Amino acid sequence: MTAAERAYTSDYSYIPPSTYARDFAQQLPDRSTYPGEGKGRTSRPDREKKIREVPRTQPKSPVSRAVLVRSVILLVIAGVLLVGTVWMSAKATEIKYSINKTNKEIRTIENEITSLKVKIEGANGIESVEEYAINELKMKYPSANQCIYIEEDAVVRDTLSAEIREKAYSKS
Amino acid sequence: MKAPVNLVHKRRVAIGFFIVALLMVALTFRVAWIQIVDAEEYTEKAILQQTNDTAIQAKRGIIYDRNGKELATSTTCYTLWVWPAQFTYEKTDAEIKEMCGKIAEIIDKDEEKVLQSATKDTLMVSLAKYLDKETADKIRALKYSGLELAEGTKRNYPLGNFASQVLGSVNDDNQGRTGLELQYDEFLSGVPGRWVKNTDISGNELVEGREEYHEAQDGLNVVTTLDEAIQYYVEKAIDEGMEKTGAKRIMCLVMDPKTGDILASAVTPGFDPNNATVPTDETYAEEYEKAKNKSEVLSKMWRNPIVSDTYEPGSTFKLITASSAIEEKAITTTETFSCNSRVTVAGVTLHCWSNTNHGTQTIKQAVGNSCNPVMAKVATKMGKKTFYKYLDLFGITEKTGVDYPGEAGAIVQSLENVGPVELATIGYGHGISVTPIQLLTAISSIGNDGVLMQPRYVKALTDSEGKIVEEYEPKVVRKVLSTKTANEMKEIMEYVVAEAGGGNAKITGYRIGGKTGTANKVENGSYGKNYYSSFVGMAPMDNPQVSILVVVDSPKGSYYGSIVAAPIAKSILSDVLRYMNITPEYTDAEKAAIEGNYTVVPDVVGKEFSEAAGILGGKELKYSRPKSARDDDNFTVVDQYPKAGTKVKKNSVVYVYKE
Repeated sequence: MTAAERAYTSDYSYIPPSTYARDFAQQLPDRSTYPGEGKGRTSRPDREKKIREVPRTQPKSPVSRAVLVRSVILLVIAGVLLVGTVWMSAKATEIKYSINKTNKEIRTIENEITSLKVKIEGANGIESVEEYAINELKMKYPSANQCIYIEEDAVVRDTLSAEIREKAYSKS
Repeated sequence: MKAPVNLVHKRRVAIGFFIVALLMVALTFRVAWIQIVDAEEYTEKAILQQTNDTAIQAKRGIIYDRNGKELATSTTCYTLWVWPAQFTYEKTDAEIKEMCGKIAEIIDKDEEKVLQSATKDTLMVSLAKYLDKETADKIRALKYSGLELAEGTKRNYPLGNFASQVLGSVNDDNQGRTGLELQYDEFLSGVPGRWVKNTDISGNELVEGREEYHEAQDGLNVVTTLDEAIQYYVEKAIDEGMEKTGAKRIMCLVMDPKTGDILASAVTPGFDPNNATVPTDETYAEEYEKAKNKSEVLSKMWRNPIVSDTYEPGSTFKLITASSAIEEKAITTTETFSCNSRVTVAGVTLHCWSNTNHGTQTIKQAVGNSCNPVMAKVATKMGKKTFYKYLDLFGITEKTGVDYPGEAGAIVQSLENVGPVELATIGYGHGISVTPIQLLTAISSIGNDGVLMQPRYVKALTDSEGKIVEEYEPKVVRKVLSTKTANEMKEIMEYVVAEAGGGNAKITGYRIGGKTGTANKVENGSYGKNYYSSFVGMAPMDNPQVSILVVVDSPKGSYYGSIVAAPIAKSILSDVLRYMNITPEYTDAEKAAIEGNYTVVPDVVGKEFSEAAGILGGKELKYSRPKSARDDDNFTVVDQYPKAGTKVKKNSVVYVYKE
């Protein structure tokens, strides 16, 4: 379609050929040489400019206050939810890191406990105990004449208490 | 009036739209390429980058003694790594030197070596291993870049050089290298776990990340039959013995004859398993310095000769010969034998150790006198087939099957090759080589009513909570002797200690039985100048709770078992019997002697010095010999002072005279 024709049929204003030619330094096509010419088609008569009626649009009614308020509230809620989600995720990550750190500390302390237990075992070895007993506490192993062995069948004989008891029974 | 649409603008818009559209198409195409074509590759890379696959090291099991005392455990340690590029980045030489100096001071290493390592042209270098937490904290406090502390596990032996050959050691990968650590490695090492998780660059676990945790299976704990207290008494006594005798080494094995449990097993010199590759003993350290093949020296140090080395048992083997002959009824306990200090077998003259004729003696007296000619006659009387039958029954011709790696077997001549001379010499413990554990296991059967038990180092495996996972019951091998024969042999053993040459092992109030032994060492294929001095015994003889073997390798000066090995056994038994709460039973005479702190001098005139020393020791007397006889253990005592029968204070000196 030529610009003239498009102008003719659209909302655009029609620019007369003289103006068109002047403004755009373009030659409008000679209508007489339209394709189809010579095939029984004659040049078109000037058309009557048709003015398209633009449907009148309804003036936009103003947004009601209630709707606006509702929208704002929804936006705020959505915003809060989104921010909350992000915040929770961040908090969870922080807690996770804190847990990891605490677990590491626990492992370190457990390892320290094991190391200390090993040191205690070493210090409680029988050699250390004997050395301490002999050198610090001045203890000695008892000799044969320092030991009294308590036997199951041992009977107390010839003691003063037995004598006194016997005498008491004889008197009574 | 609306502004006219400029065609140029429209074209520009069109072009712009086209370009943007093209870019969007290209982007879409690229996204599609990444998401579809290269999806696999990028997924793999992402997984690789984000996924942290940590191996969770299984905790190596603990080795306990029979009472739950920890002998070997694992602790956390740290390895210090340095990244030279990072460490030296933008630092002057002086600064690097200063930093290395501080590090060297903390880790107790040479500054030059630290500097060398820190400036090496490699990605990372290990500066120090097995650092404890304190040292690691000091390194962290320096806050130097390029340093990293990696956590690891170190095997720890809290008691240091204690039962070192028995426990063994582990290598840098925490795998058993020698001893029980090697024997029970499959139970001790456990199964490592895995923790697969998505992490950030610092290794922190991601909140929404994937996590897969496969728990490590900790190693099982090994409960040995060793008793820490008995092991300590043994190690103390043999250390004192080393100082007194100047021996090359001393071995001692203590067993429960009823169960085969090994209560103590010690060899000195030992090593510290905490630093198993560093010899602590001077002799080994010197040898290690000079050796070209250092691993050979270490292997020698780690070796447990009680299980892995053989030796000629000498006169201690007479107990085997006598038991076999009595059991086989080849001889009786009342039969008499004569000794002219020599015997001729198949034209070969075999001499007694003593120059003195022992005269006519029963088997009990012959064992007490340690008479070689009599034992040669007894072995000959049995015949080689019968004798070898009893060697088999006593387990001498096979390994004991003890749960320890590298057990050696006895060196025994084959039945076909044994001639009459060989048979005769084997009868008194020469021409045969046994391991200490074989000999004590065999003799322990005498204390167990003739029943041979399999020796063992380990009695149970437990989990981390202490629950028994597997229990090893004492194993009866076979009945070797009848109860009657076993009782007769116990009587003979008690006689040796109470009245004969084993007196240096006597402890007042306890019935100790045993036999001493002295055998030439075979060196470079022939008998040399050194000896194995040994004592085998058990107590209390009415119901033996403990059997003991002490072998002293190449003592300097006196070399007789009665002088060298028996006192060591006595020292051990007096501590062990008291520890085991075995009540002494004193005769009235002994009670009086204890109270009065006196003893009666025995008669040693006419006896060889080595035997006299044993008898005097049994009466808690010391002895002194003339200067001319200082290095002579074989002279015959011609006189003594105080005379026999004299009451003297205990530990008094008896002077013995040489002709």
